[in-house]
Amino acid sequence: MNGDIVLDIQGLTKSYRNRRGIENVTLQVRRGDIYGFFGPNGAGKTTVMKIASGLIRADRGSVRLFGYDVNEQYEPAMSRVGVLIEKGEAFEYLSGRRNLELAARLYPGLPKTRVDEVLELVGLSKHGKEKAGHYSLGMKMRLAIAGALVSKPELLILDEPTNGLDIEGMVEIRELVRKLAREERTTFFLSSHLISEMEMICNRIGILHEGKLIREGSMGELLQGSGPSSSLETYFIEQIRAEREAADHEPANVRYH
Amino acid sequence: MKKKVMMLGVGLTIGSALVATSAFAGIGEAKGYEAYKTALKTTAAVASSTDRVTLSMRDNGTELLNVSTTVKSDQTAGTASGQAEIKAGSVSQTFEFYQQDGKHVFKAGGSDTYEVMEDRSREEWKEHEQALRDPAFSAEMEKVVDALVGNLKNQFDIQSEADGTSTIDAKLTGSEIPAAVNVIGSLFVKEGLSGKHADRWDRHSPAKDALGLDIPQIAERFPKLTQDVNLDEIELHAVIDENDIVSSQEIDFTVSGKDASGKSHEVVIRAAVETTGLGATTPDTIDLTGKKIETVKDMRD
Amino acid sequence: MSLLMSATINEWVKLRARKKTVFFLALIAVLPFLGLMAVQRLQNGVGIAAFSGADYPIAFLGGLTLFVLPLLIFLSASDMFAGELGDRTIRSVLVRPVNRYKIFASKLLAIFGVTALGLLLGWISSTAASLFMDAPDGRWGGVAESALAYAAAAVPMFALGTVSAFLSLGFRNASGALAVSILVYAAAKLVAFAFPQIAAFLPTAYTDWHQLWIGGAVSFGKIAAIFSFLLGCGIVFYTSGSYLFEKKEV
Repeated sequence: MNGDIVLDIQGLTKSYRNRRGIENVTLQVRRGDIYGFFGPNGAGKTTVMKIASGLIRADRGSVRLFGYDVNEQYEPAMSRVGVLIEKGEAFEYLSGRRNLELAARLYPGLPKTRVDEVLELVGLSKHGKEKAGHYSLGMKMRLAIAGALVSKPELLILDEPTNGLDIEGMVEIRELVRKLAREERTTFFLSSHLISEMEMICNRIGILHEGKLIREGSMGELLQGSGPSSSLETYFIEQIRAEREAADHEPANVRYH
Repeated sequence: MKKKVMMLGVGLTIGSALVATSAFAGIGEAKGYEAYKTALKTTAAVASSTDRVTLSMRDNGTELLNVSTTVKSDQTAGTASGQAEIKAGSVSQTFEFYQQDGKHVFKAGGSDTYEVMEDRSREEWKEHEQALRDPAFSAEMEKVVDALVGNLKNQFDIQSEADGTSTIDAKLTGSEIPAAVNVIGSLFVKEGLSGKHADRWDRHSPAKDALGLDIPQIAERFPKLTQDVNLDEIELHAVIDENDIVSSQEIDFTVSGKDASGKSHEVVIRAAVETTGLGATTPDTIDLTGKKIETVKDMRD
Repeated sequence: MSLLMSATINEWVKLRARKKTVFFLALIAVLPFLGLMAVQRLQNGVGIAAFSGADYPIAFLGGLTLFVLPLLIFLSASDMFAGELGDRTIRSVLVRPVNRYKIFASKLLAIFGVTALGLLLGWISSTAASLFMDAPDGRWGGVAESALAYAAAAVPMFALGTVSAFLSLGFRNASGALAVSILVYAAAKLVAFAFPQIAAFLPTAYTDWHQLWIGGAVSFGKIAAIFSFLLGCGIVFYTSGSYLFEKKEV
């Protein structure tokens, strides 16, 4: 096993009754990567991330975290991972700090000061004692991020971490990601539907479209060969168009079964 | 994945095995209770019998009241006869009564007058009785009773003898008696002993005359429990013969309490029934010709 | 083991933080004294003792195991399973390095814990209240007997907890799960009136099995049979619930 690969997703397929889903998604996240998982709403990013963190099961395919299968060896697989899926609901009847304490208790050996550290890190120190139910949308998102960070994970799976944040908040999160990547060598697998955001912080990008990973590569690789004023945005549009044309030449329902 | 299904299988197997074991160990049945119930039903279904019923009440060991009755009855013919004796301290009175030709005939011991009452409510009663005897209805009632009895069923002990007879014993004391039963029972006994309800008999002078007894006077001697009235114990003892007939049974209610002067009383009310002459009892009849007759309309009038 | 312990503490922290739990536990502590007032009115006004002080805790246990504790159990299970599945807070529990069997176990342990606490509170409070009542035949024998009865009463309550957890997993809405749990419980209780033979094979028939432990008239075999039944039910519902929970997509 390549020790460098912290998240290894192989041939992930899952179909839902509404025919949306993901098909044969394969990708690897290496240590130190800030892997941007990009695609429009409904492309299947959350599905992949939920499977990767053991919340749901794939019909086919496998996920390995640090070499451990997420279904068969859940505890070792998840011990070095922090996860935030969608809004990352907190227990609203508990204080923000209590919410983090619950999470921290499940990682033996975590220093007691860690909860304070993460509260500080996400800028909620002053509001730790307030009930999470009274938090604003942005504060809830910060608390959720703190929840993912509390275990000092080596890999962070963050699904739309800037959702619901104002511009200032988005900038702060971006700064936080960079800081953790630089200082703690934290690996990131994060999704967004905001292309510009991805461009700014990610070193690798996977593009998911209608349940399929249509391109994957480093920023440089992806933009190579595009026009001079190329950006991820124009690249994406081109890719989508190409996909559609290809699909038009195929029989209509090959894509899903 | 296989491991998980296997764990589920193992859990379900062990769990079901335990449930099955308990079924074989007779979790759903209460032998004593069921045997008693069956015997009661069998006994009730017998057409004719002679029943000796004794009702007594003791207060701190002194007998205050003893009513013993011997009733011969034949359900098919709709006839019955019997003698009764009431003893209350120094007062004692006997009665005889007959149910024949659609009439109730009643005579008090010291009197030579036969009170005859047309059984005008008989038809009405018959309907009522039939409704009660309707198998579907009684089956439903039985279920309701079973449900209300609940786990108390298990308090019925059965001892089977080699000769085919068995004895049933059930005893409830203290906290084993359901709170509702205790409250209702205590209230009932307290009110019954209070003597308040004996006054009623005065207004119904025909009854008083017919009985030849001064009921308020008898009630006067009952302990008037005014506080701490409590149903302490209920005890049932029954003997079931080899034909599944309850040949004798006895139920005791022990109630304690204090009267207005603070004196403690322990009142034991006992009802005992002995049944003999099953299917072979012919009630006595009385030939009223030439006897002094008084026709009573209806005690309720 | 320590992970299971930590997860159980977490469930307990959540349970304790809910006002409903505190309310119910407070209710259990207060009810015996309200009952005492009613009994004293009965004693002074009507003149019937209704209970000897020695019997009062067990009489209270009857009501506790019939209404209050089942309700508390249903409430807790509905919040822990249906509630957390519904508002998705369950995710924040599941994405930790604790497998789902342990999470399921921890939730049930917390339910058992709150049930046991309810019983303990009920026992202490009703025994305290009973000290204000006369106990003509001595009260200390009653204290020992009621302690045994309260301990025994935990068994059918635990079985009820596993059933309630299992039911609750079918919902994504705490109040729906609660309503259905109550309905199923009431129905199971009422089945006894229509089909007594079936009722004997429902765990709800034995919520008052503590009655069998007092007085000593009931055979050991009977108690063993009922215990084996309740344990069997508990294991069946626990494993089924655990399996369902493991497979749940959140």
